[in-house]
Amino acid sequence: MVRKTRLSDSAEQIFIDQALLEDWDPSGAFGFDVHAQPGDDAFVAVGESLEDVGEVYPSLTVSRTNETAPGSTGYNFVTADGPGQDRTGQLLVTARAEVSQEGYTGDPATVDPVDAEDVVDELINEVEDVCLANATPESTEIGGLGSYRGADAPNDYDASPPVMIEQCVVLYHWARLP
Amino acid sequence: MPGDRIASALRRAHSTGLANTTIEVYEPSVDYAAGDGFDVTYPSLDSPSAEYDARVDAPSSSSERQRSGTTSEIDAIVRVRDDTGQQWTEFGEDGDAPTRLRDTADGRVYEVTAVTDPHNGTLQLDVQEVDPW
Repeated sequence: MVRKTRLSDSAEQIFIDQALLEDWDPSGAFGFDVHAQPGDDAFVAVGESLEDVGEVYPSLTVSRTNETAPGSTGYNFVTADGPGQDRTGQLLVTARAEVSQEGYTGDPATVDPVDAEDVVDELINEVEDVCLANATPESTEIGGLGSYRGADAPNDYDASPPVMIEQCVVLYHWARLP
Repeated sequence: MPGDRIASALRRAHSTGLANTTIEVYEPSVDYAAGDGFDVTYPSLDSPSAEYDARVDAPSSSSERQRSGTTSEIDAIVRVRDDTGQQWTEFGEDGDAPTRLRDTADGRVYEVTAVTDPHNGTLQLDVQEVDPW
């Protein structure tokens, strides 16, 4: 294992670069592809925050919710060089799509349009599949990835048109070594 | 049509009599990189992409359109001719970043939040003040 006191990038960016971009399968998400560019039918905006994706739909944002380590100080094991931490963290992945008359399809030739509620659900399903594909500890810099659905996220009915929201939690782990 | 003549008369009047300042236009450029999201950049403050005669007014605090609400949440109303050919992108537009403009009279910098076409030869831009970058 590489000894490190910090990650090479933020955990959410590592998740995007090493998991989402590498193992995304468009066929599992109505043809939407995280590699597509703006203007493509298959375009889904991906970023760390709303500022990165703007009001472009559908979109996926990855934010970090919490990183914890066991014990009162977080140091839970000792190496020859000093104390280390088993860090576990959670990322919150949010899919957003505004209600649209035309519906959403990433591949109009083969996939019929679906409504916003279904597209966000399927995008999150694909995110969970990506986590499953990266379940082993060596898959990413932040270890193996697990996921589960959280509580139903409230849709944004204040916006016009309303924005449908679906979320999942991604679990990761890395060892902080001196 | 009389409407067209009125519109062109207003355009002429706008340039000669109604305009009270000149605005500099700064068009955003938007880059997208997979995984990083959108990145919006504006040209540096002294190299505007265009300049137009404009009339800058304080917004009215009472409702002056059919739309609900008032214009009190915006900082100024900028009126320009509608035949400039300028693309005014507004806040919240799909895949677009808002156009920014600078009032040369007082140096204030604004961001376009909404564009309204009253169909009288001018365009009305609702703008919010932003910090110079």
